Amino acid sequence: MDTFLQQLEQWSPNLRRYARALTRNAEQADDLVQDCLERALSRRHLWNEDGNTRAWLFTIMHNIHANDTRRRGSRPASVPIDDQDGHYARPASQHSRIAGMELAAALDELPADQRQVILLVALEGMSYGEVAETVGVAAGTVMSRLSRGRERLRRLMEEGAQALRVVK
Amino acid sequence: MSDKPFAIDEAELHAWIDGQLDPDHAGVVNATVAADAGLAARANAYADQNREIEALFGGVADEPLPERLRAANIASRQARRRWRTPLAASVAWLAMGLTGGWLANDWLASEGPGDRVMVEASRHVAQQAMSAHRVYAVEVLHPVEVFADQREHLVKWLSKRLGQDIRTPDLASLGFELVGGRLLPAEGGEPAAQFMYEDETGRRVTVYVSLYKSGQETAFRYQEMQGAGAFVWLDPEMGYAIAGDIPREPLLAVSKIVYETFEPTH
Repeated sequence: MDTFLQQLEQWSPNLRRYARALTRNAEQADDLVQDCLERALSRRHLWNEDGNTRAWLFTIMHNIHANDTRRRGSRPASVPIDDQDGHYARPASQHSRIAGMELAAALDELPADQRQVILLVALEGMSYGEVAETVGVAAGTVMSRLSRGRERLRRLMEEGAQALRVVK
Repeated sequence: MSDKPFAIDEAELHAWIDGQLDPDHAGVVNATVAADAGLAARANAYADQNREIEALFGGVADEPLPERLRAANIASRQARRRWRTPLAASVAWLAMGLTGGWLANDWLASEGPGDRVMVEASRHVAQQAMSAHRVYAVEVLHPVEVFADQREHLVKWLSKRLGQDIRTPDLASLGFELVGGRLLPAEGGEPAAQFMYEDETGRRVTVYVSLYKSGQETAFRYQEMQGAGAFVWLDPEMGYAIAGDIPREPLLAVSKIVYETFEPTH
């Protein structure tokens, strides 16, 4: 296998993880990864062996996702209840599960550009410079999205925790 | 930055949480956060977010990769598909002397389920192009929004709206001159562009270009609907269709020039 394919295979699990966090739907996430790999393969001539392949791949996926989201517009993908990891069907049994679901729900409340930055840092451990390269904005913009996004998440989670106490 | 050791800014706080500070600098932030309960609570909350995100989704990277996501498999699939790409197809057309009865309205029999999706997509683009052709090609006073005398503006405008490098194919060798073009709505609120050409006998041909992200390339196809026909193909970003009031063979000649205009790398 050549270096290019090796690089794609190396980063595929990362792409998949990020896609899952973005879409929160296993099927949709894998479609996104497949689209991304197909496009990367058909644009092999644009690949720079000495460049940052991870940022390049994430940028491709990022653009596809943004296009998909715009195309879907007001017509969200319909997801069978069963596919939601028992989100609605079963009561959560563990505290960590409750906390996790709150975070996932709170992430959905964020503007997409803030969510992306937060996820790239948390999941990929990308440096702010790499995030800027991936998303195609200035480093200062990354920082302000990160800062606003995290603060918003914190407030959403606090409100969630208060609501939980009231219910108890 | 470290000339104000007791007042850290937001950027430093986040870089500290994410482990993106050098050790000296991190020590300063550490001390400042430790001395400020409010700041510490905020920093803890942010660090918890990172941990929870990792706990929620981190495991996905350890799952075995499905076969369909293996780069090597996708690459060999693309290689198999390549012989059916438009260029290969047009070479085949040339080789067969463009004689009639060739593959007219049917798709290659060997196509798999993924290809069927693409066939549907091509058909869809062709239908939109033919609808637009039927509506505008009969217009006498207002066939286009921007006439060919403002070609430069037209190209710039439509390229900007579609976010793609749009060109007006030169069909003069086939006797067709550009009339002008217009912006159209395509599926999902995406923009599309239509260019209209006319020959000296008044026959019109329209070139329809729409944003249609399929991530794939398809072969040239010929689609017929209510007596009118269109050639269509998709590239990874866009759908292209050429409709006209002319028979299939001259329409194919037009389509080949359009193809070479938009896919110059092939």
